[in-house]
Amino acid sequence: MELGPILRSMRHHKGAFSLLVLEVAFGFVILLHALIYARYYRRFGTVAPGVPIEELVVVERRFLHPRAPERARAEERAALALLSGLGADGVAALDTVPLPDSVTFPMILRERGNLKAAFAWITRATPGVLDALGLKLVVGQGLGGAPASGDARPIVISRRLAGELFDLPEQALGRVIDGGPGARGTVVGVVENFALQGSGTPSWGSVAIVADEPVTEHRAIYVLRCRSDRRAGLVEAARRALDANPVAAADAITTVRPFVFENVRFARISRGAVVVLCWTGFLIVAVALAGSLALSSFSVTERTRQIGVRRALGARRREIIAYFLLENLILTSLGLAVGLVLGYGLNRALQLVMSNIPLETDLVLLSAGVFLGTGLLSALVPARRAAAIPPWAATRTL
Amino acid sequence: VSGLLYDLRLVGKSLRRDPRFTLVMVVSQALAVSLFATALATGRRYSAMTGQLAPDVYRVERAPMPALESFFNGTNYEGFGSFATLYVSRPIARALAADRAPAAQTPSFVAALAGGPPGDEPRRLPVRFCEPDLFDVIRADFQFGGPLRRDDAARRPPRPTTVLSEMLNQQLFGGADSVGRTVRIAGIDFEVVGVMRQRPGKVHLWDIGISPENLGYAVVPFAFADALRPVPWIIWPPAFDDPTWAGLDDSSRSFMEYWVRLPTAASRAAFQATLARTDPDLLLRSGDEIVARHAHAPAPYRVFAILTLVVVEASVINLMRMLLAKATARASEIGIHRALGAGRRTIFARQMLEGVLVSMTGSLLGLALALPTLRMFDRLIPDTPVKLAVTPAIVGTALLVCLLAGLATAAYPAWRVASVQPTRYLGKV
Repeated sequence: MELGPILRSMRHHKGAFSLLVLEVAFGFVILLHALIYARYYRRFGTVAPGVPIEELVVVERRFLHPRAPERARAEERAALALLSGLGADGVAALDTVPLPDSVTFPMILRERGNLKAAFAWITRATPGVLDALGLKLVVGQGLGGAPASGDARPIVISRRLAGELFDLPEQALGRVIDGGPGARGTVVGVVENFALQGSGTPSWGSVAIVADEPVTEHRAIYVLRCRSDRRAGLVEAARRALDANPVAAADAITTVRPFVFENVRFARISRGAVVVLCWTGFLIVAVALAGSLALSSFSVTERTRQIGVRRALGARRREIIAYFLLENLILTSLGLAVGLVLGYGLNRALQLVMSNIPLETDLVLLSAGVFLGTGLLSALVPARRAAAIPPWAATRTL
Repeated sequence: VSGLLYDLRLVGKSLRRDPRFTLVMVVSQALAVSLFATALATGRRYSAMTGQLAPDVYRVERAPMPALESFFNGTNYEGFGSFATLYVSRPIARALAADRAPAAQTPSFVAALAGGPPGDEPRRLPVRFCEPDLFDVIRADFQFGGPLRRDDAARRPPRPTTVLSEMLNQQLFGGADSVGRTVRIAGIDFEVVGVMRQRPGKVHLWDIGISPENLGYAVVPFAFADALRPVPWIIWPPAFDDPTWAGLDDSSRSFMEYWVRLPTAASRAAFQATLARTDPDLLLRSGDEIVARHAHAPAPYRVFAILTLVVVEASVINLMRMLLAKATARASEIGIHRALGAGRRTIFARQMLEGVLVSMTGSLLGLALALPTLRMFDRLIPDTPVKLAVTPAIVGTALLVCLLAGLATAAYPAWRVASVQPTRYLGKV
């Protein structure tokens, strides 16, 4: 196939072809960025690693009247003992639901007397928390017996936090962490990284668990863990136990639910954003395809005489098809080249607004592939129409 | 006028000649515009907050915390770090309340408690604790009733009255006029005296920083805090030794906003002196500065708006391409018009009219499509319970962008068609 006639045709219809190149370029830029953004949101809603979500049961109790702290502590211990008797693999009281719907602030933690500091997500929990959340111990031990106060308060930290503060997990054991009142204590163990807040939060794997009774005047949270196939039974048992116990049931709104990641707000936002962005990408490809298909009759009518002459000179049908496809391939490639430059520019501009949406090679290739495929598909319709033009059509307009 | 009508008739004929082609042009433009209008609505929810605060309003804030801000920057929680500067501790609030210089002043924070109308199943109930002065600081519209009254709050014991947000009133009373009804909060019965109206499609400036699950709240006088013993959900720094209301009472943990009205230079100077004495880290942030902070939508929404603007661009190019192809295919007809005396300007104007007509029809259809698109967005992305809304400002912006885009769309094909000699067209007859 000779390129000469194609290039001459392009020169002749430079206005229309330039618009096609621009449309491919803009379409590519949008599809690419919709995919980049969708991937960002997908990451944001990925199941948090390090916690066996499908094994967790969450119990939340909200009290109708504020309780005096002493009474609150006594009731919390009673409820914890009640839940511990249900045969779960782990039970603990925490001051926050794992992966809450809304993010709180992190703490700044440092070793006493050391300038090195790190941000960490912090929670207060009773000693069974490692079993309750299914955390994997790297070194040391869990929160142990009854919580002590002050510097002797046991703290378990994640591997990432240990790395940031002490370089190696082994070096963290026995060191005193000081994040101010309520976040002061001695490291007794290091666990594998896990997400306490959403996995889209910065430094999600940097977590500290402080041994304490997380008593508040209005709310108590318990987490239980068991094998996923036993979870429905555990939910039912916990519900019955709390309803039947007059101390635990009195004056409280109690909810017992299996922890379902898909119901967490940031997971739903992530899923919705991915749908919206994929829809945006699909829309732009569909608009480009519909436009090209709608134009197919015009592009063939415009060149009936030219095609007729080629057919009269001996061009076969498949050569006419190849001609149209090659022409489209050249134009789409040009459009993708322009799109790459535009896409790079737009990405730099967008990164001034949000820094963590960089160009990614696989998505560049995927977007380019989609537009090459769409281009060829949209060229196939006019190409087949053109191939059907008989040689005598050339004489009609002479 | 008759010339315009004649042109419109010709344009109508031209568009009717190939209805499927016209449909593709209009629908592709409509889809792009509906997406663009949706992006504008999502951004508007958290921006353009002018007119929500009374004049001379200031908020007591802490000095910026660059380390915390940079921790969140570049993530989906961009800007979250600066929220920590908005809060002060209870001892600080107590010290500031002793100053009589402000014309109005109030601490304010939200905590989740439990309650509901007596006789109904109790439920989680977010409560905003503040002085009645809050309603001198913010410009709240009322759906029913009015604000908290100073004399009710000043009585000993204070009269338990509450103002509900529109969202909570909807949840508790189905949106009916609930003034005079009772809401039991943590065991105390409060009489409803007002229901605040929610601005359509916009999170109130004074609600920014409140987690979405707490946006439907009851406002109660601060005097009830000691009885209800709330523990706010947002506390900076988040850990402390005694996480109870009593523990917060003399703790340095920050959890409440502090708003003041300082109408005169003298009152500002006096209050500044009080701030400096109380804590040198405190500063006064004016209402204008606070509004300016929210001039732009949060980063993810801005990125989305930019993307949808590029979608409109692509749709414009697609439209341009189709109009050009259509005009070229009608070369013989245009040639006859030219030969019969139609000038270049006439041909140009007619082509422009066709382009703008298609573009604006697509835009209007797109704005109509934006309504179901917004509902879909609200369902898919439960970012906040404040529903998205198409406001006159959004309609105006979208139509202006589309008109400009329409003019740009039509100009090139019209110029191309009008600039060719009639003899060349007639050669194709």
